[in-house]
Amino acid sequence: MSGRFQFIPERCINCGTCSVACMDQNDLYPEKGDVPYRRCYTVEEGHGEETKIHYLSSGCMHCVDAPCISACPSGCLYKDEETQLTLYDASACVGCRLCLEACPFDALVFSDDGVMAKCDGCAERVKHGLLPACVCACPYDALQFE
Amino acid sequence: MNEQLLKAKIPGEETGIEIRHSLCDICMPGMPCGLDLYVKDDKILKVEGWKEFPGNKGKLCVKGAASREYQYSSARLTQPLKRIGERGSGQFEPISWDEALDICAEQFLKIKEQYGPEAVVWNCGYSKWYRPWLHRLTHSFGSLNYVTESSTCHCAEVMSYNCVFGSYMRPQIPAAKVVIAWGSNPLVNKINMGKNLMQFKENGGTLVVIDPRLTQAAEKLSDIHLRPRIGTDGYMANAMANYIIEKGYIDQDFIDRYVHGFEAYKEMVSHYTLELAEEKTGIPKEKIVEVAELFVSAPNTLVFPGNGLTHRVDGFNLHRSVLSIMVITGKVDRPGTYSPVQETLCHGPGGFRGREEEFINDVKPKDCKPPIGKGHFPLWFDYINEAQGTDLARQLRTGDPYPLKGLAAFGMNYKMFPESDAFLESLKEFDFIMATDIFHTKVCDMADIVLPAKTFFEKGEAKCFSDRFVVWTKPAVPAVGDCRDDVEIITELAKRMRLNDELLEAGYDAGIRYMLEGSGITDFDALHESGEPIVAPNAKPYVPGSYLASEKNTISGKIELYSETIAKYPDYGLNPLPACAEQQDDADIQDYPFTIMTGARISNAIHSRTTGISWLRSQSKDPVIKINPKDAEQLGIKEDEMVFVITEVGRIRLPAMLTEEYAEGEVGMYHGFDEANANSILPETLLDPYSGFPAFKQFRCRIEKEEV
Repeated sequence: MSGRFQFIPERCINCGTCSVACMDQNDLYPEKGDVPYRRCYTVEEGHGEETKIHYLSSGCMHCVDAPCISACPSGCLYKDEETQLTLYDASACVGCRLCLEACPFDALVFSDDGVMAKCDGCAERVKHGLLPACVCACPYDALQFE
Repeated sequence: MNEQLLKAKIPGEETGIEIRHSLCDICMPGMPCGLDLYVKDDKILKVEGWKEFPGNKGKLCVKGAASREYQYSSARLTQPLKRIGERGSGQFEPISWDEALDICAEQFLKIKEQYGPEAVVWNCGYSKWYRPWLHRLTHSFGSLNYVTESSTCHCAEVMSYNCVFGSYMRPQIPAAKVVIAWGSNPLVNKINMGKNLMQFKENGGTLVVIDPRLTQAAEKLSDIHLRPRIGTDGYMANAMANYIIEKGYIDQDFIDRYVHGFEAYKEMVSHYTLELAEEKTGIPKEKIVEVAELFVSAPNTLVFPGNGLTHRVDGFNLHRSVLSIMVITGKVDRPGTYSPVQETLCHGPGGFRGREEEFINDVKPKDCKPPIGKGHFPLWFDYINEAQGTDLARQLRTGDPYPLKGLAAFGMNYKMFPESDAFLESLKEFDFIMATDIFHTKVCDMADIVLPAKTFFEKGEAKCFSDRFVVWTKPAVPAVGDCRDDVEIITELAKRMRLNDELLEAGYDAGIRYMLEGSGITDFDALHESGEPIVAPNAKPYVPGSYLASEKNTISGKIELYSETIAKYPDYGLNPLPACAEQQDDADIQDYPFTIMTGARISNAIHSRTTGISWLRSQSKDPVIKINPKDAEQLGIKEDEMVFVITEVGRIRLPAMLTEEYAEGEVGMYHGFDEANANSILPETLLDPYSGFPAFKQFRCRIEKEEV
């Protein structure tokens, strides 16, 4: 297992299923100010006949050489040996957001108390032979996990 | 360790989490999506697609993925209520089921005695699973006033297919070489069909999208995208037909054998030149020719028309004009074209003939007053076995041709009707209203008695689908509060009103066994007990060619380009040929310069059903008015700024979203939101005279920036 998420943009339409599946899995509720660890976007470029629309799903890609790990001064982030997922223990988080600055995918979220949280790749599910919730849910298989 | 597993919701003995199955009923009655529910102590912790379920195969759309929040929403009704304040005040007190049902039965019988059975309206909104029972109840009660939400959605396309072919038809996308998705964007909101279309493309198919909007289908999958101005597609369809005829691309042998009215049709379309189509649609005629040539380039090409085509003043004829291109080229009942669909139960095709029709019509009253809409939309009643609800508010206010006094509102969504707020207000004219719903809605506030309904999670349900499967699930979790399912309510009402309808009173299980008798299933207990889908023993795959070999269910017995059914109504100004209407909307173009298209599907909503679900609301900014950046610049409107959308009948206030999805001069929004409901500003006079459908997809408006 390489613990890697693959995003295939050709198959994404920004339907939001991955994002809702993440909130369902992790008990995140927008009315409480929670933010899902995976979010969808639509980006438009150009005008008229030249318009190009991109649909994107974005979350932690669990990079092989994850820049957030080295950016964190408190050592909150680490690679899980078994799954190669980028996991965390936020008990030492000081809310400096250096991890977010280092992340190319804007994948780390901060609750009202300023503590970092992020996608754990549904590590426990993965260890039990299940797919991450978002990958499992994506109706068009735009998200894949290996 | 257990805590970690529990947090991750890992099913198994260690956590006590088990997987139970259910069927999502938020949308798509014809193609159910199976659910895997992660349940602990009878509480749903998580929802996934049912892995082995044929159809969705473990996948869900975003609405299904959010169904746990739907189930446990704080807006759920949990006990029967009796109104104590003014109608619409929202003041209620709880009462018992017995009391509530007795009051309803007594009031409906009282109205029946005083005004006749037709004075009670039986309305069915979403979902659709209990429709045969409510329909039968209406008939047993002695009336034809059974009204559904399909009065504004779906039925017009059913009418169009039946008008032309004498049958409802389905495009055979997987076997086609070229597909023209005309006003159709199945990637959004219909994931199973969306997957088929994606597969079709990945297998090398060519996709043309004809849509005024920049849709996901156009952006992701199309080889050619034509963007006609809203409401001009009829000119393109008829000009393509004219081109095809002039070039000799028609299938003369097919026309001679199977088609009625070709000469009259040929004469009609001869006035639709490519130049006229270019002028009306704004699309260069070379592009129209390119698509027409692609369409005739192989036998297995098809037009896949969207339901939205019928949502305009001339929508029925537009839909028919698109189907007619298939007819003149003989693309019917051949691989990769159209084949007939046989719906078995609640729109679900099981590949066998069930007895739903008998269940509904065996008790149909013979001598009663005409159903709502009959005087205004006669054609509707040739094809649709229910009242046309878009005439409900008018009849309610005027008492013409007879007064309406009672309403049984099962899942009624007033926002599906044009001038929605006036529609809601007119409900006050009723003497008695019973409302049944999952959530406390504004229609509930109008009711005298409110009954709490179960969700799909809380009840068992039998469905037929994919032309061969039957499934009958069990309740997955106990009901929230004191909810009952709609068929239990219908059955109880039938008993208390002493209608002497044994089959109806026998309840859901007996009804299912009756309607599915032709399935060949002998052990319904085992089917219900397992809850797993099975192939119906009597399911037979459709044999291509059998439709063409048999007499068509039309007046001429042939496929009708010239509709003899429409010709029956010379006094209603209807054209038996699918010509384009000259004018869609008489609002002054200077005062109302924009054309608005409403209700084009977004992923995270189905009408108003999910507007209270925060997981879904968080996925988009809707309601927003989508406007082209150039128009916005001219009006000095920036992204997210509040604007008014104004028509001759009202105004709504909502934020602007600047997007190229809509062309200049055109704007669009999704309907059904409380904060800004597009349908509340759609004039109720803008109805298609053929189908009675509101002009959701095309009316005039003005955009004004809110001055702060």
